[in-house]
Amino acid sequence: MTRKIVLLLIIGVLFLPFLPLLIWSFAQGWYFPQLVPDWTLQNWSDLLTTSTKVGQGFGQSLVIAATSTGLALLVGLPAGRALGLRNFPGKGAIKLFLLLPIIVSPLATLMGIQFILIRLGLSGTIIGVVLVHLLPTIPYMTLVLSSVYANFDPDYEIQARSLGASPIQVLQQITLPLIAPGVVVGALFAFLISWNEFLLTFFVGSGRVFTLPMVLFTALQGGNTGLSSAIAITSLLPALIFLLFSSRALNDDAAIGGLGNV
Amino acid sequence: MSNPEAIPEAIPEAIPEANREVHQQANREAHQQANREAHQQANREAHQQAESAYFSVQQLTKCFGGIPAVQDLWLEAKAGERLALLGPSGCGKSTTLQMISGVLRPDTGKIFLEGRSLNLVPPEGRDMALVLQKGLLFPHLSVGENVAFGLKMRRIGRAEREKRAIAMLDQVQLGGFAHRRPSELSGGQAQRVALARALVIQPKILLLDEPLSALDANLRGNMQELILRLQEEIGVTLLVVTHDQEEAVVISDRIALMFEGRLRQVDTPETLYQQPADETVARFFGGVNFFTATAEAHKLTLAGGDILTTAYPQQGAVQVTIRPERIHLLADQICGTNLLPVTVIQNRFIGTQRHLALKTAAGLNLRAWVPPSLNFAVGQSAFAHLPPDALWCFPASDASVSMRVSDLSASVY
Amino acid sequence: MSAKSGRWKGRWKGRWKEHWKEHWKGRWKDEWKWRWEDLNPTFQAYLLLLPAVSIVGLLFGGGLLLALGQSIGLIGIMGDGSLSLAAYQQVLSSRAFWQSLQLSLYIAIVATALSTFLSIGLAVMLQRAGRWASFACQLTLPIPHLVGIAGILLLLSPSGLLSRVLFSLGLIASDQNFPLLVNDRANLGVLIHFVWKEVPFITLILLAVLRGIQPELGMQARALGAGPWQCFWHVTLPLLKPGIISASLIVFGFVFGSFEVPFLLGSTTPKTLPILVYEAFTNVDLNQRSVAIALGLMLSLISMTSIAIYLWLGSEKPFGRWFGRSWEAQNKT
Repeated sequence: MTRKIVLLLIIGVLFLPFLPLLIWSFAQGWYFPQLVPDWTLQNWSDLLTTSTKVGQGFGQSLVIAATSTGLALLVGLPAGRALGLRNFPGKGAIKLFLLLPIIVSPLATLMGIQFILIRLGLSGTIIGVVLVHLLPTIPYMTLVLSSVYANFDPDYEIQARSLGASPIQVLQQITLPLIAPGVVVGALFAFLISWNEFLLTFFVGSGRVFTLPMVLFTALQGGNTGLSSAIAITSLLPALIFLLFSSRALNDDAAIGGLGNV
Repeated sequence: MSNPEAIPEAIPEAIPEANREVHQQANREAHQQANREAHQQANREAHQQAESAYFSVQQLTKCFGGIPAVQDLWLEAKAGERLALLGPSGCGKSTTLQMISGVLRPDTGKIFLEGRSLNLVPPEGRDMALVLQKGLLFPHLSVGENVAFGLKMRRIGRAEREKRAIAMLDQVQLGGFAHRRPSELSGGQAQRVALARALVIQPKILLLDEPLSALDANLRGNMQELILRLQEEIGVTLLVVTHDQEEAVVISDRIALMFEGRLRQVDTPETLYQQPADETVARFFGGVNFFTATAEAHKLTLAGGDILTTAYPQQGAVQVTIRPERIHLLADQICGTNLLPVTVIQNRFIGTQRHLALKTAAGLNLRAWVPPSLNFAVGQSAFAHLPPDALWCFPASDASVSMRVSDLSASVY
Repeated sequence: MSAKSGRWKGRWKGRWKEHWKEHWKGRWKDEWKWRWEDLNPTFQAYLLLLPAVSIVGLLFGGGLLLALGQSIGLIGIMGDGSLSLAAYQQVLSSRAFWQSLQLSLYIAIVATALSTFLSIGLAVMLQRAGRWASFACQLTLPIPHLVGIAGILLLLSPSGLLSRVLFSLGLIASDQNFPLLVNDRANLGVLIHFVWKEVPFITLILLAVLRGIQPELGMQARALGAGPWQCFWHVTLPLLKPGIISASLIVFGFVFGSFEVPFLLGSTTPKTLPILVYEAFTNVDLNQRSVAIALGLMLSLISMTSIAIYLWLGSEKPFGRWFGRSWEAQNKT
């Protein structure tokens, strides 16, 4: 019973910051002592105008997050397999190396990369931003997939081979379906990391790539609280999808647990 | 995809002379004089038949990081034969199975099936079906889809493969289970589905990796029966890998016994029990009585002066063994030969048998497994009858072995 | 000369054909299939890791090297190709740098410690609460920091929701009476945000680790006479240790290098190191560019050093040595 109350309390505290956001997004000139504002839909209809750049930001965020997730998946799958199923000298060192971009501040690296991106004409382009977003997405993807693979029995593959499946058939019919839930979680995770990324886009985008977090940052500094709140809630959309998925797919601890044994 | 050019290399002339020497050397050490000749003869014939054998493995060797896991392994099987590869864990039997199934590539050696070299054939092209220890049904497929998996990989039409899968499920007494999920099955049922999944592709060889060790005792008997019945019906050649000698004895026609990456003895279960090649083999099959003697043809003179007669003629210093269940214990002296006066020093009732420890006047320790009705009190005198055909001898091994034997018998008491 | 080489070429071609016919014809397909499985397993693992490691290495390592080159004037806009440590001198001699370093370390250490301790308690408490607890912990996991910042600002600022509630309850007379929680000198807002965001993250990881621990171990310990507290201290905590270390490591690294949270929620002076970097980087004076990069490199260096210290403290060594000694002493007597 006490445990249930504690749980409800935690959920309440975690939810608390969203409450003013929700109210503000429907509020009009909500001044200090007022507890309840005058309601309006103005902030939400403002989102649809081009001057707020929300539509553009949403589109760019989507493209960047999807591309970097796809690329991270492509390199993360083999890397996760090696880390999850094999033992080899230098495994710990490689894991630590892959963790560095997550733990160490990326600022210096960003300024270094910026230099070469300008030379290549990629500074301020979506390609440049996607490239930089690989810095956090590949490590997270690899770690999540390594723990997904650690819970996968490679004997399934041997079994399938001996029943007549070629290596490609094994991958299509056995390995991928079996690790699919973990891969979905890993991909959602990487997508969210890219979607929520502010600093990397801020430095490499040179103000020309305008993802949703950039739009939100500008709005927050601009002082239009109602609009900022509406943008903030909009940018939660993939997070909600993630939560919807995670209530099911995350049921096995494999994927998230991967972050716990780095 | 067979390679016709590779086949001529299979004939014995291609075997490096030195290696054959080594092989024979190993045999020489392991076998007694009379047996050796016969064995060599058999070996020679076997090599010559290599080409014609249904399935054969020649000179198979595999090292991991410089440490040999399997060394110079020769094996063959007739069509429809049941062969067991038996040995303690880590003896290289699983590595051998993996090389045969194509998961591992041997360092050297050749594998032939129906005269076709399999060395370059990937696992999916080998016409072999592997059943792993855990059953390992694909959890994302239904039972029916699991059984039809191999057929699907062979691009057989849906209707046909469903028909065959259902027929196969009937054969393993799991008709009507096609739509279940693997997670809904018990361990024994899962193992039977795994068997059906392997047999439905009509493999030339069925490879079983410890098929029963994951099951509990009463299920094990049923599964053994099922495997034997299906094998007789279908006539598939069976290769079982196991560490459990009872399992090997029940399932197979012949057992290939492996220790430390090498084959020690390939024989019928009866021969392995009654006429082991050496003490290690005897001990692996539950042998507990070992003592030294000097042999002159059929006459064995024991260290203490007792004289026994054996059905197997020998010369010189020998190591004698007798299975504990072959020793008869008599209260009175009835017949004159092979009778040793003993004292009972331990009596353990284990249900179906009574395990007795005996000591002769000369200090020789023996263990006898007698019917439970034969109840001898500890300290009681009796006569042990050792039948001549149960006394098996092999050349005495070096001192260290006999040391070990005496240590062991000392530790019993 | 050319005729000779042509003849040689022809002969080589003939040989190659012969060789092909003899050894490879019709076989190459099978041979190819074997190639991968033939490789040494260790080598296979390295090959599988190669794309990920090389991309991360190129981006991260390459970026660091380029940054280093720029900071010492070897390359870059202001670089004239000669080595100069002026940027570092400027950084190390400025008071703002040391103040910022202090502030950054303070925020990172306090936020990490607070989050970690709270998470351990929560995880142990929610251990048997079922999947619901894990789900609750995921609530803030996918939320962007910027959204959290906006929420916290609107909740805790003097004119925020909490202040309004207190006012309407008559607990405060005006918004001036509400304690300053955002943009304050103690950076309480920043700490609250990080605790709000990171406690669920660490708890989630710890819950996953806890679920992997066999409950029999605790029972065994209890059966051997350990009280619940001893059981936690001697069984649960050591088993949780790797999870705690890696989770708090990620959190520490992130908080130390975080930009947007202290920028929007933190004190205006002093600033944290990342903000200092940002300001130097966006300065119109291009000479400040190398200072920004030098600062960024110092930031990376400091976080790597603290991670190394942290890992060393977390490994068996520092304490293991004492235990080892006491065991040896026991054996001698």
